[in-house]
Amino acid sequence: MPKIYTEAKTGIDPGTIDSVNSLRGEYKYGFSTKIDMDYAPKGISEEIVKLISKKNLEPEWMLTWRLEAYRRWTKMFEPNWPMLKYEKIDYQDQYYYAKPKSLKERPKSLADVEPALLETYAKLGIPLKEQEFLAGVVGAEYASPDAKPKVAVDVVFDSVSVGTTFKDELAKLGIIFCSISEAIHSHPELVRKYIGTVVPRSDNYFATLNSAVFSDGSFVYIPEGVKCPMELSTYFRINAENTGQFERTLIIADKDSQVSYLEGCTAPMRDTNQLHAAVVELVALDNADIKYSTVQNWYPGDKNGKGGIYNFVTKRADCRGIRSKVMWTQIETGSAVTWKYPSCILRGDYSQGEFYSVAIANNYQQADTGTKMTHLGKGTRSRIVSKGISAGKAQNTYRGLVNIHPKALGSRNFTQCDSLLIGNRCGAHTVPYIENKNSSSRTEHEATTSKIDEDQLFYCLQRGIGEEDAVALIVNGFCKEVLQALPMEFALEAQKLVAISLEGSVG
Amino acid sequence: MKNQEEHSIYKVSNSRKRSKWALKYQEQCQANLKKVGMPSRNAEYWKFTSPKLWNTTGIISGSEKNLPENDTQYIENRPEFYVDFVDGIIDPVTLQNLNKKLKECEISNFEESVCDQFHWANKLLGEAETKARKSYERPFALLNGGETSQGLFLNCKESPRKPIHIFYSGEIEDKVNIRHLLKINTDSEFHIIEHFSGNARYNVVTEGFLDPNSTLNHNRLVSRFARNSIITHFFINCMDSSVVKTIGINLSNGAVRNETFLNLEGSQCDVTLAGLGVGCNQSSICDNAVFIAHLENSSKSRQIIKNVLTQGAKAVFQGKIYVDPKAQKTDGYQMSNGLLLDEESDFLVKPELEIYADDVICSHGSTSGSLNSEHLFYLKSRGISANEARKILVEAFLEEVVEEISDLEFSKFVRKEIQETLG
Repeated sequence: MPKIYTEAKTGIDPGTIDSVNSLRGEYKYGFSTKIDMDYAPKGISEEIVKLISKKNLEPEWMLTWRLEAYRRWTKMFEPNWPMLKYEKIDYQDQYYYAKPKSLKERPKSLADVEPALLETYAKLGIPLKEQEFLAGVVGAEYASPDAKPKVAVDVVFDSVSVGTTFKDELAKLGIIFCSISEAIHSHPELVRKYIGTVVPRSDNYFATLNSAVFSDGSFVYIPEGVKCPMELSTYFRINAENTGQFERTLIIADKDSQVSYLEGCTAPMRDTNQLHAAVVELVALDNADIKYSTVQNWYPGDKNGKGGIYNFVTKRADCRGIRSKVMWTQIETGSAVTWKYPSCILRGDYSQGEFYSVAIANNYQQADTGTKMTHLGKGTRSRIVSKGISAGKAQNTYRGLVNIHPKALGSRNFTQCDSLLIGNRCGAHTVPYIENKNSSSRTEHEATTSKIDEDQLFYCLQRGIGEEDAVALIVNGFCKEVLQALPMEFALEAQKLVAISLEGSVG
Repeated sequence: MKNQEEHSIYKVSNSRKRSKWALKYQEQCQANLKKVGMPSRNAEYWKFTSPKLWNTTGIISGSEKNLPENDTQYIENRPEFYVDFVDGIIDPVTLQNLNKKLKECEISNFEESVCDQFHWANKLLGEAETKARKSYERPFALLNGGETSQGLFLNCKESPRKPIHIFYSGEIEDKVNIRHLLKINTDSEFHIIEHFSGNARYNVVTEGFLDPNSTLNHNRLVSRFARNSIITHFFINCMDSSVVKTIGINLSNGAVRNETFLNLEGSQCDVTLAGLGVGCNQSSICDNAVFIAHLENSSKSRQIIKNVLTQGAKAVFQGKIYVDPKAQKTDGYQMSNGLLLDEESDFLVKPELEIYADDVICSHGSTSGSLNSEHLFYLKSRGISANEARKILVEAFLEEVVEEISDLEFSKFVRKEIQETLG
């Protein structure tokens, strides 16, 4: 096992920092692991959908559900309204199912996982530090469980979940944390009740595609009155070439429960563009509180814009219960193309939605991201803080909707979206839609666009801080409001990530 | 009922042949309209309001506030410089009088101008519109270009000492197409004030060309006596150091859409756009669509939009600041505020920024909500009745736009009209 495992217990381990420093300016997760894969044939058709369903040993209702989605998808069109330019995606030139061969049998514990896979985690390091926690699980029998903050992890490798940790401990509290394919077998009543109720099969082009071909993802159920004692985390990795990843996450927080969920993603460096179309559904019942944090660090393509992940994600939370609360935090540094609008339907009275986002686009990256807050219940509140940073030749767009329904009396919205431009070949755009339909509600929106303050930069330079470091420092200050919303251990890593993402953008 | 085509003056002037440049422009408009078609609700630029409102007659049944006899107050106190458009047709007497009084400008009517092969406008007609169409399609302007025969061609060579007023009034309920073309020469300053009233469904296009260091002041009052849907287009091309100030006041109970496109082609331009809307009726729709294109360095733009809405009125604001990579040192500001006085009204905004230059300061803000209860309480505690207090606060809210009007007489008139509208 690499050395970093043993040092990982105190804050950020020095090994990680060193390896970050040694790799500055490059994509750290660009390696690919040679693992024998089990592929479904290329392309998409009803047969492929049936095959995926069969591979996961799914019940009949699930297959019907998928097929209906597939049939609808064939009649839909790719959206053309985002400010994104990318080559047309050939949906028949993708693998929709890839699974490490060694996982023919679902592993009972991580000890059963192929060593090459574990090595992959070892290389990943930040931002999630899964590798140490995963290692902790392997040695969990003899390590003291209180030694460090615990994070339960579900790992999705290409199409399938390869392991979930701390399952037993969570089960004692009645918490279900497993892969969605497992949940379909073990908790069909819950899956059937909630899947597709937040993001319907017909929602949009990419969500419908996902509904048809999703192969795995995470499932979380927090029972009534339970406060989840640890962070839950899913780690997604696309490894195989020409493979699309279509994961589906479903989180249900029952009455008076609380959960914090982390998500991280990486992919190897490839010259070709890879597709990622995920769906995340959150359901918050009365007084439930869900915190969903993402560090998205898919491969962004090289300096000339070659390769990279196309990231088309539909994330939506449904605050069904009164006083329920959902908080989305996202750090978007990767992907060649990002299309993502985590949103909240504030249905329950006095429910609350928050969205904190940092989107960094460098080189030829394009990001069109934002949020939708739909106020339906009385006294609902939403808060949006979005920070966009463009450098190189990147284009960064904030696109958001605040819709206050006539019946959502006494609702409140605050939106702030700031953009920072580094260099004169990039673009920053803001496209907010604000629709207030009753007088007792208030909306506030403010947006600014500017470049890095020269006085601040001068101040740093004058004190002997190099230009790149100074820019990273200032940008971190610019993003502070969002970074603070992340769970502690995540925040520190995210700061580093911000600096790395901006490498080479100055001068 | 007579309409624009049947009017005698129109027939007489139409007997002269349009010159080539005008015919070419007209044909182009018709061909382009055929190509793009009339907009549907699916078009992004028409997301919030249905284009049908401006495409079919939507006469508003006269409420008590809209007694037609009040129209005469305009006629009683006419300003010094003015032109009348009655039922969409220019009143030639008023134009003659104006030409006699006003030596600083060369003014001719549309139909005469387009028959002159060597008219100063022969290279300008449709130029600003073509530029505006690059941002969004403007089918209503194309429709206007294909059909219109009325309007003013105005070449401002020196600064007139007082504003020129244009009054639109009349009884016909049909559509009326009017097209103006303004050219403001270097170092001159020009102030134009438009007054809309009457039953017609107006479609007005104003194209303006500002030479370096010139100033255009433009005010538009859609009065409470305007009883049909109105669409206006204001396409201005600005050269170096030119100044534009356009202020739209909308007190009508009908559907009013103002499309503004300011093309800042020169550097160091300074443009201000202000819009004020008072909607007191379910049929009242105030739709402002603004596009400001910063194409050269060091220009400044400012937008202020204020809407007061009650009894199911709707206000829409779509504003965009576009900054070209060349337009460094741009300063763009945009603020839209909606004051909703009851539960039925809608305030829908889409304030956009599209920025490709890094050394810029651009910001926008948007708020909507009801009157501040503390402010109300303060006034009430000083013995002012709740109704009066509400009125004071609403007027104060709108004052930010009214005070932008540089002509004191007109701003006084606007204040009075707002008070009348609020009742």
